Amino acid sequence: MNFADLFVLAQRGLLRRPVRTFLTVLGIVVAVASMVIFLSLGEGFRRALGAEIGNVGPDLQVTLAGNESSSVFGSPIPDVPLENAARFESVASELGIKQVIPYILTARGSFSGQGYLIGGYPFERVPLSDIYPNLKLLEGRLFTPADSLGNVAVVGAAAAKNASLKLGSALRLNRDVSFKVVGILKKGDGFTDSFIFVPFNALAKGIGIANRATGIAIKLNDAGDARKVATALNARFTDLNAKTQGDVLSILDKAIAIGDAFRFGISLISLIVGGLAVANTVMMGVYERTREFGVIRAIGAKPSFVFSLVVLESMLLALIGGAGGVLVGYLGSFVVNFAVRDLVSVSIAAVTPRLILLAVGVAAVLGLFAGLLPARTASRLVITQALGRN
Amino acid sequence: MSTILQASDISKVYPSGEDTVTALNHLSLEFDAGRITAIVGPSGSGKSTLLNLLAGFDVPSSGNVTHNGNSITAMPETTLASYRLAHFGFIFQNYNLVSILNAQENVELPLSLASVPRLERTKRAKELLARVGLGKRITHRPNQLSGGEQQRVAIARALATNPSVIFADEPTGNLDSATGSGILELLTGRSEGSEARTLILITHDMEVAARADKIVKIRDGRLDSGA
Repeated sequence: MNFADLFVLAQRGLLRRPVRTFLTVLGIVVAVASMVIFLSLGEGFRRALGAEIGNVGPDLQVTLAGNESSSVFGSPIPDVPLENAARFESVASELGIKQVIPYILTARGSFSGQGYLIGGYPFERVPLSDIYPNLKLLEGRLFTPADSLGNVAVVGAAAAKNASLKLGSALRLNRDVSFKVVGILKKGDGFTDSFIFVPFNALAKGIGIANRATGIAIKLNDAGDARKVATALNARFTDLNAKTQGDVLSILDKAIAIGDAFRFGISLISLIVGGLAVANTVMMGVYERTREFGVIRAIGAKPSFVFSLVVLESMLLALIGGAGGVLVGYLGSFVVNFAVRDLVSVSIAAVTPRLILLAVGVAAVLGLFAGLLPARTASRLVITQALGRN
Repeated sequence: MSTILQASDISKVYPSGEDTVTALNHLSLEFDAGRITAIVGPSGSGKSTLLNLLAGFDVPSSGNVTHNGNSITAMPETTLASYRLAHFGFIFQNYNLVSILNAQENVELPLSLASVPRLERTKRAKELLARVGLGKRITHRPNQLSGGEQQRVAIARALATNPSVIFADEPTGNLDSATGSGILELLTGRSEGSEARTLILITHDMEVAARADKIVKIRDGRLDSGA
């Protein structure tokens, strides 16, 4: 029997009990959809971070070596001595370093949707457009060299909304220090929407940090030399750790992968439940059709044919459920992005081709395993017993 | 007449609690090619057990069954399935059609298992259904057919692969006398003028048995007479 005929038999077998089949498929849809939504978070983070890192001008990020608690962008408390900037400047021509940019990053707000990041950069030396080339001004102005110690801020669109800032508003950093908003950026599709940019020196003074930075960003004459320069810097300055954009992405990817594993673990529970539902449905179908399987075997079907038929039924159930799950998961990811758009200002959930492949693959494996026991039972039926003889 | 099917000293013993039940007791039979053999006997005499062993649905506790000199008893299950498909046709007492398939698809099933091309098997199925008087009922599923119609679909299915031996359990049970007689002709192939098929049937209908070339009477798992 060819596959098309086998497929028709399997499909008819499932349609014998349409309501039971529908409910089983629904179970798989829910299980796969939850997996897709959970894992789409990791995919969205990867995509957003990849785009963000790629948009940032600096080719290397330097933080203190051996500080495992540091994030990839640096410690929460600025701890990189500023004199390191001078050390890098001293080898700039030798290693092809174009710009050395110390920065301070500090977070404000909470998970309530009112959060933003404050980034302090030496705008008197490096224009904002050099560091984040894709940012566009909506209203007001950007920084000028005269702003070096001025308490002025240029605000991302989401940050402006979250902190209720308008042109001319005051952003209070603490009891004594506030910044005046002189520019508001156009809404983009990145983390920088949640950024508030201020001059480095003004921020350092405002939070009481002297001669320290969260990290040092380095722009190279040739971005293709990033790996070579990072290796040279790490060999020369063993107290520091220079990371390329690739390193940063790799570290972030590792963190996201751990999150993925955790989320997959949670979805695995619903997947197992869905798989058991498939196994139950297929097994009930086998019991109900014992006589028919006996007839098919009696007229000349091999045990392997019956086995294939039952496994195909199981896989059809799981794959239809899997396809439905991907669709519902895809719609779910839109809901997630809609719900958190003000909080993080990027699409944190993304249903990527590899996630779709994973979901369909998981559904297929689920169907295969769920069908094995019923298929074994069906293929081992004793013909005389199945026919109701003796 | 040459012998097409032979049962040599076959016995079938079933466990029953701590005891055993002997369904067939050292029975030997020969079936000639192209002849109709009717197996008759009271309920529980071992008729169905004999049919199961002859058709290869079950294995005798002792003895051997051969078809054209090939031992069915010694064949592995996979080989036996292909052998049944190629050489045997079956009509079950309660028709046993596949409920999810329509009449034509039921008749096509053994051809499909034998990997006969779609066009060829469709033509064959339609032709057989027309011959059993169901040419206009080919798209009906078993639950849309009467008992007699289902029985005729089962007969068409048994003939689909043009087997050399047909095993039938009460093949004319739900048919009127005239139709039953025609069906027997169809089953044996005598009406086609082609090489006659061997028909082994179980029946309680003595009119049907009377049309057989040979009657085998079974009682308590042994031959009674007429062998």
